[in-house]
Amino acid sequence: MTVSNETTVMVGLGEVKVTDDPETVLACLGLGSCIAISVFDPVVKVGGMAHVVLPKSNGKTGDKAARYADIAVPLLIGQMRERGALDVRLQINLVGGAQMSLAPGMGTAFKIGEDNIAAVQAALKAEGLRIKSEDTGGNRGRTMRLFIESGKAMVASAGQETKEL
Amino acid sequence: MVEQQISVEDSLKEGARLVLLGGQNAINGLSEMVDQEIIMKTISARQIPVDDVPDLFGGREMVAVAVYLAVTGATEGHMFLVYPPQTAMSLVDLLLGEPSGTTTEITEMEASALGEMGNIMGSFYLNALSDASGLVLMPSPPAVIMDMAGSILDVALADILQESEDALVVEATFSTKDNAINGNFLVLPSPDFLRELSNRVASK
Repeated sequence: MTVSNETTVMVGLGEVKVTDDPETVLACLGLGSCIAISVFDPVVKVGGMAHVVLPKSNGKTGDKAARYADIAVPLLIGQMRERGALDVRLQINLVGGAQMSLAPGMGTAFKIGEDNIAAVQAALKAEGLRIKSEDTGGNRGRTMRLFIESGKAMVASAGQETKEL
Repeated sequence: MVEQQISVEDSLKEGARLVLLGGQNAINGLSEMVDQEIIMKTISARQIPVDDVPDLFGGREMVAVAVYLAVTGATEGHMFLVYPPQTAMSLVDLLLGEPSGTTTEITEMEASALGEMGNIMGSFYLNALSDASGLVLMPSPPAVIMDMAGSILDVALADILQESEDALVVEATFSTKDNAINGNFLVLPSPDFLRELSNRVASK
């Protein structure tokens, strides 16, 4: 049995993290309407994750702006490119964007999940990038982890087995 | 003596005092519903970073049972009753008048009982605020969800982040007289709502 030196690094609301440390596991926990975007380049072994909260920045800037899909995606991809990642090699996965069944028929706030999915997809398309795999929508919470050593992206839900994307 | 704590910026203090009254009234509502004394142990109104809210429930990934009600009317807001599954099942026993330990899972019937509890507590909370401020405030029908705490709270937190970096957390902790159940009542009023309440009270 090998001893694991893995360190889990939380990617909080509106954060973008990129690393080439093979012992790091990037994680977004308990995603509801939020979306985790994981990116990995298997050649340079650089991985990144963004935790998107809302779809559109509508002109907002500053260090908190990465909570918006239209800011987070270019920021994440830009940091990957700076570390030597190539667009054609990027393995991109999406998790989250659930429509939590809070109060049926309530206001626009409850469409955030759907809007987030659409906004992230559009922002990736604008960068000319394709999504490898996604586990989005529905009405359950999810946790996403990206293992930098292997590039594996895993998704877990309460009471269900963890699966690879 | 109930431990009371208000830790919010000055412009929101009057509104915070009012929501504490609402929280007290919500506990009274629960007490009436189950026809036994429910003791409020602490009640607080605090401003904390939005990202820290799920920590109140043991972290984003911790599985919790939540009753959610949206507030509509003069303003919009969010109310949650969030419990570890074990506490939620104890509450169902209390609500249904069963001996403690009877409920062992949350199915439709148990969820319905918890929803009704949310309904009563939410209505008592909002009535207190309406009476004091003159604002018309209504609860949505309750929704009962069992999932990761972060995922349950996401929509409310995303909503709050559109206007503020901080969430206002109104939290009341309560227990039954025999201490068999300890629970809390959590409300996330928007800063705008608290400001409006403060202005209303000031102009009265």
